[in-house]
Amino acid sequence: MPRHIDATLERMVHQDRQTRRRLLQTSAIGGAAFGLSGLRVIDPFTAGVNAQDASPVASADPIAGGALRAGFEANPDDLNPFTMSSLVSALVTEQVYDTLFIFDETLASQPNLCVNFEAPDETTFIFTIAENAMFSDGSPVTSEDVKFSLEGYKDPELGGRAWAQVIETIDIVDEKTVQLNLNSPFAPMIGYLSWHYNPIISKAFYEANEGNLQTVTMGSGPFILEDFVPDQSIRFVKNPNYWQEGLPYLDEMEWVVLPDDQARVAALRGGEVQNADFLDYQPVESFVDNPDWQVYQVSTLTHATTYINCSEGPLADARVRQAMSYAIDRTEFLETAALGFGQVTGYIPAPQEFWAIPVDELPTYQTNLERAQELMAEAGFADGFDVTLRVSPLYILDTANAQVLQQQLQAININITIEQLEWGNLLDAWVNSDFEMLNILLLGQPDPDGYTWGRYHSTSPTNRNLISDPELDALLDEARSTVDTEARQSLYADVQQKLDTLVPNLFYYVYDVWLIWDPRFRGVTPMPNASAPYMKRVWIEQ
Amino acid sequence: MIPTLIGVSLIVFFSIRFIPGDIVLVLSGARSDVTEEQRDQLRRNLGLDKPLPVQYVEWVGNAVQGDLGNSLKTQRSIATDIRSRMPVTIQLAIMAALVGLFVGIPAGVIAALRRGTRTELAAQGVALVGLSVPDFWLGTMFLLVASRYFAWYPGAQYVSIFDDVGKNLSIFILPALAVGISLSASLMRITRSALLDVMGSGYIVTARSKGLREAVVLRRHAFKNALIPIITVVGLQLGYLLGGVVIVETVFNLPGVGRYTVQAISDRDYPVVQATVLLITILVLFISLFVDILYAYVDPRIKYGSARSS
Amino acid sequence: MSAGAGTLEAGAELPRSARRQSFWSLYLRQFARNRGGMIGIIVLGAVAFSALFAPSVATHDPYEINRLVRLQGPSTAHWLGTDEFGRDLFSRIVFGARTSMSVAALAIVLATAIGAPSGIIAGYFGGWLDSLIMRVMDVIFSFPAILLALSITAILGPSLRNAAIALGIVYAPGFARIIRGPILSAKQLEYVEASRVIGASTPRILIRHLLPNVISPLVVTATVTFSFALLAEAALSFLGLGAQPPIPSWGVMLSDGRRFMESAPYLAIFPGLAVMLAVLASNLLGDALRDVLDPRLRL
Repeated sequence: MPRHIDATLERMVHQDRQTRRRLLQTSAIGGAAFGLSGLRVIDPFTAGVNAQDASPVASADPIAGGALRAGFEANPDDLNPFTMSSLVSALVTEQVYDTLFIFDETLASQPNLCVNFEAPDETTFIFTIAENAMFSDGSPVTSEDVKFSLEGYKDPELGGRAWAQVIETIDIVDEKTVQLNLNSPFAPMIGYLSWHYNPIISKAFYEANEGNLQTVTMGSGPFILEDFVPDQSIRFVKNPNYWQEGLPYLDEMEWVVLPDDQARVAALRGGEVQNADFLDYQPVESFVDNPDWQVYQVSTLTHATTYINCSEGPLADARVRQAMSYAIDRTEFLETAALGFGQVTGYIPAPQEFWAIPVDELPTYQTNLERAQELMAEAGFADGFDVTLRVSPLYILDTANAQVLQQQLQAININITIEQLEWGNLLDAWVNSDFEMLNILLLGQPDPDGYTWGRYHSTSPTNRNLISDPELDALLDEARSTVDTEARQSLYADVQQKLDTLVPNLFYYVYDVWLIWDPRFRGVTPMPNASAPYMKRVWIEQ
Repeated sequence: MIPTLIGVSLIVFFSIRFIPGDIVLVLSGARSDVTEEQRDQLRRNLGLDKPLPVQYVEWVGNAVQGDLGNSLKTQRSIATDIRSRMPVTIQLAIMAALVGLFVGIPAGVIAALRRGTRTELAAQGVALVGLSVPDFWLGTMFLLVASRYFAWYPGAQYVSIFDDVGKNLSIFILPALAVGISLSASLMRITRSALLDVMGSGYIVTARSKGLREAVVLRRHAFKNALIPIITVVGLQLGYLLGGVVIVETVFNLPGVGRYTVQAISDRDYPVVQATVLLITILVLFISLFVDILYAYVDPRIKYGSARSS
Repeated sequence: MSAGAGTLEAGAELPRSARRQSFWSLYLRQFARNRGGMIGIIVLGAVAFSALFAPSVATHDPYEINRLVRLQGPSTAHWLGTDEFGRDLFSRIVFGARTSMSVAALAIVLATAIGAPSGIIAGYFGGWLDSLIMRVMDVIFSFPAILLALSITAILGPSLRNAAIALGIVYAPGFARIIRGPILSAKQLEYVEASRVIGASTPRILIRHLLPNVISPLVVTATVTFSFALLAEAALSFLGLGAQPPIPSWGVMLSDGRRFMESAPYLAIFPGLAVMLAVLASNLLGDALRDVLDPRLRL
């Protein structure tokens, strides 16, 4: 599965630094697809599960019009892009707001609102906004809005995003040009600006609503959120002022809130909805090999892990943590908990092939009970110890992993007591590092920085393992401020090798999700990062 | 009634805050790029930083004026949300109770009258299934069987009975059956037992010896006297149903109060939990009042007052 | 009407030990004649036996994970099949009996201990005491069980015992209500009034004359609630309050089985049958007990 995640972007940044010339052409905007040739990867699973439709997009001319009803897993909560944080909210706001850059299905950054950018030096970015970009109320997207939005993400009292803290100042060059001045080189910037969690917000709209954007939305995205009734449905209509010509194709979308897997199955079968997504293979089984349905199996970046508190007790000894990693067989986790649908992953999710080093190059990933017992003996714990593993029953995978881990670690005399906490309590424990071990699923990040610096740097506010290692800190700082892609790639390889000696987390696998579609709906290009930017290109075959 | 409400308001107010975690944490939990300062700011915006007694007094003060406030999560008016959800819960409760009554009571009567026969065995068998299969399981089974083998789906979206009676009933029939069958089991058991008690008593013997037909004996004498425990159980179950049958509501996508409350508990959406619990308390109090009145109606011997004074 | 009391009065002339003997042997003889009751005792006994001696009864280690045999239907190697971890379902059901029976039994005992006296006192004394007790019960009853359970574990910590305590508290109002009704009507009966007039003490009236009236609804409620408790433990486990994995319990196995309802229905059917058997047995036993203990039915 050749994947060059972020490759376009990285090449862009890389070459830009070297040649200082414009790379992106304004003409790329407005078409149905950006320059994806050569980078486009069709997920082999997709083709494997349902071979009848391996490359659906290019074959026919899209027809505008029609409506989609889809089953949706949950209620969005906060719709204010500055403060929202749930995956579900982001899926909704993504349809309404637009980002400066946008990920394609290989997670390479592509131009979006920003059609052109220059990097005169390592701490300066100059963005040019599309001439015709406008919000759904007809007002243009200006450099003023970009400045307002990015400053909002930086403001600790508003967005408070960790990545935005590197922005020193923002200068308005002209109505469509804006300059970012960073306080240090920061390679991940474009990745974060491509993330659908960080869209551009209209300053005028924000001020008109006195900042209360929790329930009202207005952006430059393809759809307008017309109505949201909790526990019932979310209704979108086409944005008539959408600046990308001809898009979206659908006139209307209604996402019916159906949290129960079996309920979504029944709604699909009953013809009530034409699309629904599933995290579990069980409900999907009857749709596979069924000509009435198109099933997409998508590998995601969501990774299953056990957090280890590295600050006290036997677990503070890195040899003990290494022993645990040596003692477990990750394939068994994948095969039982995730029923075999996914792939074993290291410290950076395996589908990010450009950054993640293959798991067979990570020493502790090679199951070796003798080595594990040796390490336990060296650490003085040959007789093992007792430890509590906290987990929430909300996610089947977390409790399943806990049971497999408990079983496997008995081999090195580590006795795990599983303690289930209600989800809110578990988050409380996680955020406050109030655990010995804790299972949680982690979402994909827009950049390797998100998987490493944020989690393990000793000064990171989100270092839940309480790990502190000067060598690791130095590596992490260097990697985030290195702009050269190859150099950065090799630095992250070092980071991962270093992490494999420290083993702050036991990572198991990334798992697959399933999208079930009525095959008359074309233009679906599944994303690995739990987002659906392709909705604007979905159309109905007559 | 007022002291009960004050008691409930205090308990719900403090117990929900006693549980670890708050809304800010729940909403931003899985994000690693949200800083602690941002969380504190959100808490200030939501007024969660004020001292608890102040928050309590503010809430009660507003509530007695009919202002239940807004959800912390969605900023929507709680009163509006509850107004739209209450009819769903009430309809499901009533329909399920009807199913329970129509299945449970006849089954109980048959089981009592045909004691030791195959008919009793069959009635007991139905009750047994109702008791050992949870309502959500039964509901899911109905849904899957209907969609898979009959290509029938009751509809993903709730329609008010005032808008479209047919569609509304088709949406409610499966969940009402699932919940009702579970209910009928306990009703059947209690009816059988209550009837057996009564059938052995002197006045039934008298009635029979007067030459009254068995049906008349049953209807006029036995059944009426067996009603007290049955009414109690129905009252209890209505109370339980008004609290919401969460998983069934979820499976059938019914926007009821149960889902609303449970979601609010897991979101730590304090004002929503407080409002719904208070409302359910009021309803339960009315039901128990009603049950007490019914007691006196079906059994004229019951007089309220202390034992000594009677 | 007062056959029960009569039996005791007659026994009062015998020496104490002899009286007790005849008292029990009477009940035992009656019970032995009740076929349903005997079946109930035997089945419950079998369930209790497998719960107590689970390691000997089970054919496999209920915790042993083996991905090679996951999700297999019933076979000679695995009588009832295996779950998604390849764990033996039969052995898990046998071990699950421990969890489920103990939680349900503890919950019932607690609910009866709180609910029955409350209902009797409220019904008999009436007045402000009745109002006070029943309003407290209303408060508990109208409180969402989940919130109650979460609050209890926030204080006591999650464990099976605390799950049983939470369930006991949740069920107590039901017991109180179901008992208060019969007391309300019975206390107005002539013989109760009569014994009051001849100066019988309150405890005597309560125990001799009123208690027999509530035995029937009490036993029925207890057996019905027993099955609710078996299933409710699953709901609590979903919040992390019940059985901690990998400890098996019937309720948890039933609700986990919902995930495999179409592809591996046996995962939910067998635990369901186990619940059904236990519920059947407890109901048969309940009926028998009621028949034996309720004096009016001896006519």
